[in-house]
Amino acid sequence: MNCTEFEERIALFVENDLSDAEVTAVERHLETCTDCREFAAGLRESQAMLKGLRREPFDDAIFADVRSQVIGRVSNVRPPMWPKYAIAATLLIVLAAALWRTRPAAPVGLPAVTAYIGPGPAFPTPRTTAPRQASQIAKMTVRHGRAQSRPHVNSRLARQTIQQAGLAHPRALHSEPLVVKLLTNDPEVVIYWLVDQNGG
Amino acid sequence: MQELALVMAGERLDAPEEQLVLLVKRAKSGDIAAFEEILGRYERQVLGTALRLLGRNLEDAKDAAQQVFLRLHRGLRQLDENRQFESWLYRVTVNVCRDMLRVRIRKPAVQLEGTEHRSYAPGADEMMVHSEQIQLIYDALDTLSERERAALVLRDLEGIATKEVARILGTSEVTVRCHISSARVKIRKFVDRQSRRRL
Repeated sequence: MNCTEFEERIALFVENDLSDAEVTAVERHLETCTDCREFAAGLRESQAMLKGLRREPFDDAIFADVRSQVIGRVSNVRPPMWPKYAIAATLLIVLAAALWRTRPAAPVGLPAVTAYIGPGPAFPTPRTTAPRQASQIAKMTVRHGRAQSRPHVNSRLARQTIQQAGLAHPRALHSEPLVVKLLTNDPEVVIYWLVDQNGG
Repeated sequence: MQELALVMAGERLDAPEEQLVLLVKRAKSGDIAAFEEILGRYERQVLGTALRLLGRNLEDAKDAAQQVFLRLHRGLRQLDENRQFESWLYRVTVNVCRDMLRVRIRKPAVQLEGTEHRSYAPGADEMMVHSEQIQLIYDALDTLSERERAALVLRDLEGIATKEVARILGTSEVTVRCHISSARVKIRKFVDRQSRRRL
């Protein structure tokens, strides 16, 4: 191996980047080669100068400038909202599916109260509720301007309706469950409410 | 809150790694103050590396540092805070600088001389010599290839182990050693030539 081939090894040697075996080989060569010893000395000097860049000082204003630019830009970036919406939508879908699967079938032989939601004249007359109750339901459940698109159930009113029909009181029911069928102005949306002994 | 929980559990938060993990977690949840603290910790590393990779062009180095931190902010959600954060940051810095070197039309360099970078106060002569040496080394760095320069800056100026440099640059350890040794030889020869000219 000639001296030119040793140069790059010496470049690693001066910074302790060689294995023990390689170090031994380079040291042996340096013992006998004056040019390579000079080369190694020059390398140590240039490496010291190179490492002098580490001490190159920076003005704090430079960092402050970078920091303010970056913070200014990231402060205007809002974290994406889609994960929250996705979680909410998933929960709603799961809940709807669970409700759909566990919906009670229309019971036979059980007392039933049908309540109607929406404008009174456009809907069939309730079967067992009093006219006063039906008008109350219509008056209290039709929401201004939105009744056609979103059926609304007022549970308190429905409970009152059941009580006024003389059917909902737990003691009157004799432990039989009461099924409340709530019709909405959407013919495809029918809500069943199973009332237990506690009236809930 | 997590910090408080750890303190209550008797765990020490002295270790910079632990503090960093907490900071990254907070930054991930949108805490700008935590992100600013991360920025403060690593701005010197990022700006210094960018400056040495881009050839002492301060404006470009500042642009690069901004890009690096903006990429960091964008990538926070995907960042695994338990993995080596510094290496990731070096890799992004090298990539940003590489992209800038490839596409930029070089602007006149804003030299880091004069009043801008005085954070210590040596004597006037010493300072002038130091400043000349710095410029000489920057000129020497300009003679290196992009890969040699990146390997040398990471190994000799940032003090990163050869194995880690290889990981950052996405190459083998042997290749990095090769680049480092040839870069050192080139620097030494350049400095030698310049010194002889002055004599």
